[in-house]
Amino acid sequence: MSDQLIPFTPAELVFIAVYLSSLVAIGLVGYRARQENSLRDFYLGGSGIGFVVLLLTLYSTQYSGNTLFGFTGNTYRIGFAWTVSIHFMTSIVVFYLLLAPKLFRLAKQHGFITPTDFIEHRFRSPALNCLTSLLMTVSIANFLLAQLMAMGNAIEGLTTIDPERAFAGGVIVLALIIVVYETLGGFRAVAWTDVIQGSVLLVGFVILLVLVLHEFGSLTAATQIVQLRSPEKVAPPDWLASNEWASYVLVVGLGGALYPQAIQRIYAANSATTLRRSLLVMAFLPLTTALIAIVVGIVGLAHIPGLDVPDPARADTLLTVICRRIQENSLAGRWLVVILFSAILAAIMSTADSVLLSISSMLTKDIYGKYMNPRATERHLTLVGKACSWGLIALLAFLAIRHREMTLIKLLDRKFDLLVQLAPAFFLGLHWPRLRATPTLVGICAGILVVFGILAIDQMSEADYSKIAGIHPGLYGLALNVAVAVGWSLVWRVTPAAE
Amino acid sequence: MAGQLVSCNQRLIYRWLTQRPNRRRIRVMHKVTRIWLAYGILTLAAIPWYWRWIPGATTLICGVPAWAASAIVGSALVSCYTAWLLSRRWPEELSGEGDQ
Repeated sequence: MSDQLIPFTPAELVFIAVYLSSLVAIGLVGYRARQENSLRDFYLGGSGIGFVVLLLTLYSTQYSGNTLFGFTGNTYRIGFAWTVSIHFMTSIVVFYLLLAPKLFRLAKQHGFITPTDFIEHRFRSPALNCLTSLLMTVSIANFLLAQLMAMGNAIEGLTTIDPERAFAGGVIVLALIIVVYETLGGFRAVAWTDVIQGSVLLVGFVILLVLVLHEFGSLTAATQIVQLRSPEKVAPPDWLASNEWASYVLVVGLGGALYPQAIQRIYAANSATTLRRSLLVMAFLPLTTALIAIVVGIVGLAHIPGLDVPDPARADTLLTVICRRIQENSLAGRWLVVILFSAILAAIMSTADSVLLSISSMLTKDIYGKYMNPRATERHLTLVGKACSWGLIALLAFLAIRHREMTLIKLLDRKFDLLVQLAPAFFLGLHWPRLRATPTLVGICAGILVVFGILAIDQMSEADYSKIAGIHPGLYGLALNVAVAVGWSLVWRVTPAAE
Repeated sequence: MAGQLVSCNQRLIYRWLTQRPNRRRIRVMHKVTRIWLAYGILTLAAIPWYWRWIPGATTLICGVPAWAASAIVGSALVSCYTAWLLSRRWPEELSGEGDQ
């Protein structure tokens, strides 16, 4: 049982090349559509984007390669307990209800470009601004590195050349395509390519479901096999798993709503109606994407046993194994796998380009523009932003190639543990006027210390402390964070003007 | 007496479910307790913590064990409720200040 695809024929590779070239062409169209040489035009697409573009860019940014590989693999490992993924992806939209309406109005009134612009407007604290930018950048830089490695892995299995060269080639070529269309068209190019990538991803999920059920048979038959072979993967969760379920809903819901690239999409909507309608549709998308990933994981668990033995991480290759089986069966199957592979590339690249643009905007506007060169013109800052994207992608591509065996799973989990520490600053900051800057800053530091403290204990101990009583470390940190921020703000005696 | 109580409760529940919030309620959605109470109840129902004590938890419904089916339905209800809240206009639209 091979976990590599059958290498693509020249005709199939040409199809992939045409698809990738179309992304660069869209970058060129985005370059021609630019209205001015300003940060707002480059990072938010000027006057804003409409319903279809906003919906598909939110969708393709929210659902990454991890949804396809990670969700199917995790269902394979733990069974129906991964139904939690539908619940936590829905909870992101629920938390947007608290964030989006007011943040959108403020963004339009005050011309916000980065998430830190809101923090600056609300708290007027340079230290809090820096910490917010740094925390967001560190949290999502890991995510970008993981997407680059996923690109290398995706290309590696396609060709007959040496795997290391294919991996490096895949990382370099795809990273180059992303940075080229992003440099040309900025947010406009990223959002427009997301329309193609989001559509390909939606079609890919439907094709995946049809192919899997056609190839392996019904879900009922698969579940019955799993019930006989591994009844624990069909059994209801115990108290620990139920705690973990609730913890996932909170940590991913809060953290996902605070993705900087998602916040910038709230800013980029051309009207409140557009934003509201896009979120309305987004509320139902977990029922298609995450649910399909679970069905694929269960069918794979039933019909392709032993994939996670001895290494549980190998379950993440389930999708590739399924594609290989479909490729072997017919010519039509081969071409459907080509479309499915395009969807995989779309999922990875659409997330990577949004993250890259978001990091570049924060480094340029919040760090360089504010503290290193406050007198820089908009034109100069836009140029620095583009250079920043090239430098960042070069560094991360080098790291991805150099450390291709490095496991990022735990680091990826940690991104939500860190991002949720910003929840009081955004959610309470929007709705509770008494929240003060210093308590918020100290609260975030306390939360981060708790997270790293628990992780250090987990590293040093033989027992597993990555979650205590099923709860993510980020939530323990958040509890202390909120207690400090709220408690201190309540006893704060200095008048707001003095602060 | 008991019948009157049930009828009164039904009327209250019906009013609670059908009453359309006025503009003031929309403006302070984060402060409307019943919205977040409804989310709390839906979340508690969607997390399958109680299925350990229910016989037939692993009976298959459309190829999915009953407890997982209830979690999927719970998530779907959260989606529907969220969509219903989002189907109503925000104060940003009523005042026009959010639109360009």
